[in-house]
Amino acid sequence: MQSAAPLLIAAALQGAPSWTEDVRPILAEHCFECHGPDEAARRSGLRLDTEEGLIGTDGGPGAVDRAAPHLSELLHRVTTSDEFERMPPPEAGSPLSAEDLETLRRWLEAGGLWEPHWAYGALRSVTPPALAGAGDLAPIDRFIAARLRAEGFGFAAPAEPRELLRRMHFDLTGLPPSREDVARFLDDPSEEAYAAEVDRLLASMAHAEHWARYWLEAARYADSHGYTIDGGRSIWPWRDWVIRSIHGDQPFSAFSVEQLAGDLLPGATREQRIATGFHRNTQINQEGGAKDEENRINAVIDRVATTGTVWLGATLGCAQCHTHKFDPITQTEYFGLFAYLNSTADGGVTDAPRLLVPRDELEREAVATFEAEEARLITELSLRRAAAQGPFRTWQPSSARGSNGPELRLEEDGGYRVLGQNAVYSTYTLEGLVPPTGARHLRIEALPQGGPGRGRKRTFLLQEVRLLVRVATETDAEWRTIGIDSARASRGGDPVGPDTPRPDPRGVAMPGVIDDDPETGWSLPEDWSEPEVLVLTLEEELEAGSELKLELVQEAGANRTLGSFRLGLAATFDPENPLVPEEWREASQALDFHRRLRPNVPTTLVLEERTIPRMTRRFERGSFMEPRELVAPHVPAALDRSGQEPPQDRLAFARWIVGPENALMRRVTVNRWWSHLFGRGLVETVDDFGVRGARPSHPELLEWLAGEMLASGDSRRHLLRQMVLSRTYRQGRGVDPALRDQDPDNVLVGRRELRRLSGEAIRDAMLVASGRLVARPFGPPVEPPQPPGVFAFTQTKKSWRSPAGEGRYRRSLYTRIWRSSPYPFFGTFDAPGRDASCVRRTTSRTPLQALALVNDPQVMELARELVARLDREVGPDGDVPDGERIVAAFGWALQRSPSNQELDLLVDFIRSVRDRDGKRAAWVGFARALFNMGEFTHAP
Amino acid sequence: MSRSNQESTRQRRLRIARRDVLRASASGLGALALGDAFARDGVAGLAPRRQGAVGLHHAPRAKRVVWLFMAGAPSQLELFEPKPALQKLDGEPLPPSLATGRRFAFIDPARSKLLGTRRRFERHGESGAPVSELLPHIGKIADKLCFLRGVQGKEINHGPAKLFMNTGHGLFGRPSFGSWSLYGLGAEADDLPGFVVLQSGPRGPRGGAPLWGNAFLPSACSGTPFRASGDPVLDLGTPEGISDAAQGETIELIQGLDRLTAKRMGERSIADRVETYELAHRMQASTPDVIDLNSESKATLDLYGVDPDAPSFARNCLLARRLLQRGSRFVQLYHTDWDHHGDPNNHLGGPLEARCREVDQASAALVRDLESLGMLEDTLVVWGGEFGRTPLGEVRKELGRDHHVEAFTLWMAGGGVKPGHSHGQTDEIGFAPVSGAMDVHDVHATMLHLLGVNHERLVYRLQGRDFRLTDVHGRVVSDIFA
Repeated sequence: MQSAAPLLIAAALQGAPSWTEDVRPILAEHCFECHGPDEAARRSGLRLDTEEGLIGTDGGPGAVDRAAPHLSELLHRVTTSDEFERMPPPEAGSPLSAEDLETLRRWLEAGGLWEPHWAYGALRSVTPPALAGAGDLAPIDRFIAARLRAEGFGFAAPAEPRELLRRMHFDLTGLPPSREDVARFLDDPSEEAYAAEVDRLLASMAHAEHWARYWLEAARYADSHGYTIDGGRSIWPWRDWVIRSIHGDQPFSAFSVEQLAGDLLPGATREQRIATGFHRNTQINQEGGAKDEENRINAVIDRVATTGTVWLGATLGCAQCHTHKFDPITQTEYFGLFAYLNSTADGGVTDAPRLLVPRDELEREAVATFEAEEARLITELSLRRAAAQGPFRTWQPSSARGSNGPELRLEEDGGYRVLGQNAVYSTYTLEGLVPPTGARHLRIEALPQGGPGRGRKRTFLLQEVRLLVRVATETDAEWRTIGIDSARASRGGDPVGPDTPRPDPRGVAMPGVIDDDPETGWSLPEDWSEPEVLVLTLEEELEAGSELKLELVQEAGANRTLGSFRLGLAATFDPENPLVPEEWREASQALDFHRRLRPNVPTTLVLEERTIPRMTRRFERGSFMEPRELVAPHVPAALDRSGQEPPQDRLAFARWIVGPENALMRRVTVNRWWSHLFGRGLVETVDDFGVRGARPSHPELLEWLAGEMLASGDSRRHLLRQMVLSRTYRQGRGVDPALRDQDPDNVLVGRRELRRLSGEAIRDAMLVASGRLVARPFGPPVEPPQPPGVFAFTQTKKSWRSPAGEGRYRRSLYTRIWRSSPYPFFGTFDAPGRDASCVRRTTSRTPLQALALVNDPQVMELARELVARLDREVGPDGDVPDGERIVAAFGWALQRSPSNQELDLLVDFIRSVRDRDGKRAAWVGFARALFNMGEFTHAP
Repeated sequence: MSRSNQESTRQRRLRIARRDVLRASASGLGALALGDAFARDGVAGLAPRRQGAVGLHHAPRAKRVVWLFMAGAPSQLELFEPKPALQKLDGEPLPPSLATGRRFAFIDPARSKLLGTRRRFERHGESGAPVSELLPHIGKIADKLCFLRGVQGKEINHGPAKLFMNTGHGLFGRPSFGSWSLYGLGAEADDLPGFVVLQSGPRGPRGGAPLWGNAFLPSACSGTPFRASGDPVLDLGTPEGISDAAQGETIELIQGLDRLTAKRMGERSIADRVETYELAHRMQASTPDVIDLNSESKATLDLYGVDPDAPSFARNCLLARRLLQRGSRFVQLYHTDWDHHGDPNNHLGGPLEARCREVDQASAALVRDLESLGMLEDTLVVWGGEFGRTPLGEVRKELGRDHHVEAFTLWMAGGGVKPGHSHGQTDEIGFAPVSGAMDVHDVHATMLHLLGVNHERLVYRLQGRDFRLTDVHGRVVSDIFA
């Protein structure tokens, strides 16, 4: 055990200690708390994580003397026995170990050289190493071979053709090759034949589907809202968009920009808007007491973290609560990133905005017509509404709340939508300043869009309106009630029939809202779809700048509270003018009517930018309850090599991420692709390229691949092709015991390791072998059979129908994902939950996997289907020899014939079971055993 | 610990060491003597078996845990916390000093009235602990219990609060307590899941799978739900129409084929795979035995109040005892529907009485039964919800209370905690602790300590960060140790 992996430590112990590998970690652990990136926590102005800070050219005292390193303050402070001088101070932590001190001393003696973090530097141009006798080696192979040679090893022998073809098919498409594919390749295993097969697969839909799955996991895609209620959602059109994009080899840069900000592209197409579903894969809390703003912020936090993991290999989550302790990202910079993603229109408890997704030409036309008309009617309505304002100006209170749990969300038009808990009764309280014009009249608009009420049939009952004022400058001044002279409403609550005369345009008196009698108040007829207003005339003029409190009392019960309303104030008002002009009514009705004609097509969740951006504030300790100073959108200085002004909006931010200067994004991306093919990243921590992440095993190769990505126009297909065509990829499962011993984790890539297939791929392989795979791509999620009792532990019972037909046999990718209870077969084989971004699966081996493979109803069904295929295509038991059927099934499952030893086992098994339980039992058992074989569930 | 380069070298070395040890332990050679029981990527992936746990960092007081989780949050003010002053202030508003800056899920603290309980309390045993008339059986074992009266949460809604209570974090993505304990300690048995989840009541607990999920820990650390009807574990039973003999022969055939493959391909990992079928087979054999209550005496069934054929909390309590006896490390029972806001079906009258009837006798029976079997001393029993309920009444149709995170009560028993003890005290209306406050992280830290685990040292590095159950918090409250 002691002798294991000496080659990996050898490098570290030779020569002077390196800043990055040896020194920085020591200082990060013991010193950065007070002398690191966090400005607020910094003591004595000393900063030890930057070169300027170390040598004191940043205005601070510095701690390293390059002229006389051994006399550096740094060394003195950590070694002195004077307890007033010694660092770290006793209350801050333990002293440095002798080993650490020795490292520091040797580093200083060697000059105390600082270097930037490797991952954040500009792209370097690298040349593949020249190797004697390796004339025909491709660039990737030169990098790998050079390192192997340096350690005294070489490539493993090439994989045998059948294994290579299985490997390549599973890696590129997630499906096994057919028997015919293998036969063809065994006939002609030439370079050209291999390359042609690679190209054929890279262009296939199966490839796009398989690689889309990796992206779906990174994007935490699911077909449900999550949290506790976990209701269903429709966002599969985004999933289909990902497949189409990969199928067309859309450049990764455009693929990224459209997902992060497709809605903001000039003339954005419907497809580009669908792409923004990436960041709508956040959860929505449908629980009764859930707060919209809290959950919206949680979604933005998730978006920042996911953006960091996927594109920047950065653990941004740490900086939410405090400046990152290790990576050079401050808390303010975190909120700078947050600001880019903080101005979308979606909320935390509802699923709007949704986009209509037409499926064919006819639907496209219908949708286009519908949307154009809807847009026209919305404009019309807002014009009519503006024209109806008269002297009233929208009043924007500084606070708005409702008792008993509802949340009043300020909309962009200055009105309020009431969300969250549908309170049985509630009083809304709004406070703010009286505008400079002063005010004598208050107008309340009750609006049908989202309202007017939250009771049965959209009703409300506003029992009382109360107004109070106080002098704004004195916060403890008493509130004084303002008398209300009169109240008039454009309509009352009496039912309206065809013969009801139109109300007086000047409205009807509504004394019920000012009489302190809870039995009376303002209401509207059921399901009312026209805007109506209530105008109150006050007994006195409200002074400009004084503080106004408005209480809307709705305590009658039965949820009869306002759902959508807007407030206006005016200094003068002519009571002869109509309260609601006819044109406004008509525009509102027209929109309401039109929306009922929405074409019946699928929808998908999308991002939309608000017209007015939200201001972002830093949250103290990351808590949204403690907002602090405003933060403008900006990117972390350490990650920015563009030399430009900070991007201004989400689109500019997306373009910054994929900009040619962003080598980090390309390093992270090629490393992830490499890890999917080779089972391990060149940087093992695929999700973390920060200072605490792993160092690349082959830094030059990683750099070369990143350069190749940029040069190819960010073509995923080009990179995968290079990798799969390499000799490195085509190695066999070499058995050099010395190499295995020294490099147990295959860091040097000197062989191929057997890899357990994902649960998705295992199920797909069973579908292929049984002849039942329905390869048709795209469409709504499907529900293949799963064991009974899966939803016994979810709060709400989920529907799972598994009807007969092709939905049972689609690729695993299309299986519906309920976040609270995902398809168990996949989870058993380490599929991650879809709650957070995942770019690296773990592989475990548990008895539950054996149980699933042996007993799952899906496995049983496909075993029976395999037997049916034998009967159909080879001939029934009794008509053809057992051996013939066995050989055929082996071909479908493993693309080879059984060995004699295997045949013996199988023939014995079939005879034994057939004699006792009949031929059907015997062959189903055989098929189950095939599906359970280690060879079936692994890629060689 | 800090030096990334050496860290990775050490990790690598550990991984190799672990791989050897895991192989050894699978063949019964005994316990791991390593920092944590799993390789980072679960090289072997099986929960390693550890007979007679020795604790990870120090000698354990408890070897296993059974957590009776009252989902929906029972009212401590109706069950464990009599407050005479609250009775007197019944109908009065909340003092403004308490109302400002607090968050409630539903009520408006400024407009709601204090609510004195309608329940009678009795002081029990030598400890004199007050327990409500609704829980007569638990009252009788008060001298065996340790009440934590000043527990504090943070999340005000059920989903996030349940995540917080289970994973120490209000959002998704962190491993549960049970997963951490398996990760640190391994399983005691290899023919049963080390972490089992049972469920009773009208529906599953809000939050679902993430409450017992392994998150980034190896999937062998995940909780395994046992279902009340059908196969307790998914895919456990032999499929319909397959004879036992054929099932056995099929598994033998799989193993035979794998042995040939392993030899032909020279792959150790295929050979190791044979073992998982062995374990699956054993699990298939032993699990029906666990859930078959026929071997239990009438006296035992009566003690718990179990109808052996009907799913119930009582049946789950007895199952939990049987699982613990057979080596499960962590068993969690959810009993749902404690969310007594005051709606017609969910209030502090009939519905609360019904929930109490469903859990009272069996909860007490589990403690007594473990004691009589000599297991209580090293089994930690935990009883409580995800938060408590407000001293304020929630004015809906019936009497009810809103969610309250400032102070609520959990009780523990066995596993090295003081019997007949109360830790912490709340103010006169039960709003907030005045002494002995413990937040959820403190509860976790203390529970881990009882299991022989230092909560600051059970870590998992992910994305450059050392994750632990207690995040950067947690305080071991040794006052409650026996």
